[in-house]
Amino acid sequence: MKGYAGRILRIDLGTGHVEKQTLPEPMAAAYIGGRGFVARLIWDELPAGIDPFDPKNLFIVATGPLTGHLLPASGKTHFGCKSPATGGYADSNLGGHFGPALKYAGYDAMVLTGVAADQSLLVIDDDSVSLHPAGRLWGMGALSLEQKLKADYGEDFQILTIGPAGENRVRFACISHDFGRQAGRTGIGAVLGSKNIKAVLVRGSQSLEAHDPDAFFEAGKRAFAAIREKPGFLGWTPEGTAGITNWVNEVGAFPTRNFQTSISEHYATINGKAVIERLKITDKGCFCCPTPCGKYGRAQTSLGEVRVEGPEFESIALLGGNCALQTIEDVAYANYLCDELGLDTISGGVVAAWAIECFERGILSQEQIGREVHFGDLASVAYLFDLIAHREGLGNLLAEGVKRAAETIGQGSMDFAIHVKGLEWSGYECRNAPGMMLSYLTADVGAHHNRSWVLGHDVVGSATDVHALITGGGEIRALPKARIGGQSKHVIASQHLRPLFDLLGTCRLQYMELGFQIEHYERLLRLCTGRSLAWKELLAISEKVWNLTRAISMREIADFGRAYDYPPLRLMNEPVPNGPNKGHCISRKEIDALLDEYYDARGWDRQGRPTPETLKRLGLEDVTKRLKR
Amino acid sequence: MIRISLHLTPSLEDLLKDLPYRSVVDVPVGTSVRDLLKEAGIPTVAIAAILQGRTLISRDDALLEDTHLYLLAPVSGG
Repeated sequence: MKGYAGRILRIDLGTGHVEKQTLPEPMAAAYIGGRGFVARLIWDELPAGIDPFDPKNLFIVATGPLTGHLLPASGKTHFGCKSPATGGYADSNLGGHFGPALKYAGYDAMVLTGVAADQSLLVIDDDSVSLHPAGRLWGMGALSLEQKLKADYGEDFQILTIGPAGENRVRFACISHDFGRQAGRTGIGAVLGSKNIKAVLVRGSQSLEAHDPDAFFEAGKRAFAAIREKPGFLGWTPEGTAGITNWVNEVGAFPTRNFQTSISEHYATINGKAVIERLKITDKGCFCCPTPCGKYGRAQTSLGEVRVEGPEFESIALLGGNCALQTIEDVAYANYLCDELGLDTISGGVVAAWAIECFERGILSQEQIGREVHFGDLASVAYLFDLIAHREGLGNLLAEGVKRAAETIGQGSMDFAIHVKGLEWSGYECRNAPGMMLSYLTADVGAHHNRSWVLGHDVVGSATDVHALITGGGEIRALPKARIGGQSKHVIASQHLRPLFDLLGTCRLQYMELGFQIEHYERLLRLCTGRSLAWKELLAISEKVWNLTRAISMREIADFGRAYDYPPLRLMNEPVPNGPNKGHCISRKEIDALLDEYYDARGWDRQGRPTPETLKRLGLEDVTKRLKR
Repeated sequence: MIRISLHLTPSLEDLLKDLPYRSVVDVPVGTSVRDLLKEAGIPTVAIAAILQGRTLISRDDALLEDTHLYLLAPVSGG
């Protein structure tokens, strides 16, 4: 199969058995790669109903057919397992250079099972696969460890690391790579830690074959040129994802003080401009990326100086808005701490804000926490992150994630535990954004924005009365209440489109943000693999994967269904107290209407289960049979 | 009067596809970008960034001559 490396590396960490399996052509044909491989391997090979920290849980790394080839932004790597955060399907991805290196070593995917007898590094050097002792490295920060391993093993190794949070099975521990790229969501870092693996190093020296190498090379060059000619290239690249901060705050969607409100008074000191003017040393891009959104910089704070990649928008939203840190330097410091400790900044920002609100309401005492904690105070946030990563004191409970922590603490704290399915909510407040709300509620991994992003439609599209917005000249003092109905078509389209790039192994930003044309992807895939797939056909495969991931969660969680698709009470019952969306919220009845419309449009029953007819239409008959059993 | 030509990114075109906006607008010298968009029938809140040539400009900047503006839609953060 051209384009692919052609093998799956399987390692039983318990026995040390290593197998290099030929990549099954039917799987590549049906699921393309990346997230598609992750979903199919989990469905086929994960023993149903096990605990996420059971040695039999899988830790999967998968690339796409375009990963590692010389075309724009082809550096994506996907990870999957049973989620410690939700108990259901999990995947997360990162950019950087690991995926290309894995393919150059000869593997499209890697599947780890079992648990290493001792704390270890997994070292893959082309055909050589070995475990090296890591006992002395246990406890090290994820960034520091990568730096040390680069020095010890060589700069040409690409490295995944976990921090103390992953070692200690914090349910929102992430995987770090390239000094600032994280596969942050769903707790996959904790699964790697549960397997006694502190880092994975890979070096590859092999070539990838393409179906039509000369034409592929020329098409890749044209693709780079086409991206540079996009007007968005100049408008988007300088600030990267942080550039959206002003707009999100302006439209009243910026999570602030544990989602108590949706507008921040200090947004201008934590926005993209602040990143550029006060932190940035240099742009930093991933493999073959012409639009480097990473901003590597330094920050001097009351707690010391750090050097860090970012903060990107999500970290700004959850640390600067949700924890109310007032300056970009403080946000950068908290971002650095999460990266070094191996915590997801999104979940970390939600959990810390929940704990602070519990303290301010008198639900958690100073004695329980160990000190006072306050919104806007970097020392409070840093203290909580350190407790969580090391599972010390109250941190042992907070490390379980906001849903489990609130279930334990009670006293009404579940009402403002901001999550869906057990995964903490990312950077968009949705009490007047029904499409984005529906995106969060139905995202397969929990409340994550990267599966569907339709906030623009909520604010200016068909869901809202735009006449007032136009005649108002953009002075947003009060947005009208968004209409409920019609959102599912945008959400479903987005849920097929955005994760499609996760099958191909490329970054979606060039298409989504710059308008890089679909035709380039169709052409590049054809010249790379020899397969002619129209965009519509690729979207159909993405829809199949979407239904498969839903089926995985149905299999793994006994009562999984509609009840798992609701927001916390705060986002249904508490009107926004100020800002352009003052007075708005989306009621339970409206949520039900959104879900009904969505399930119907997907061909799911009203409990949110794909019907046998839908699974058959998508070529997932085997899934139907197994779910019935 | 000056003539302003507006160019929309594909994601912005998608957002505004149901609106009868105009992409070429004649306005008096000194018109702000904000008023230009109002005249064009484009909700300002739909726009995350505005480029004039290679320069990012704000909604409150005044337009002094015939020009082309590139309008970028809001996009998700990472």
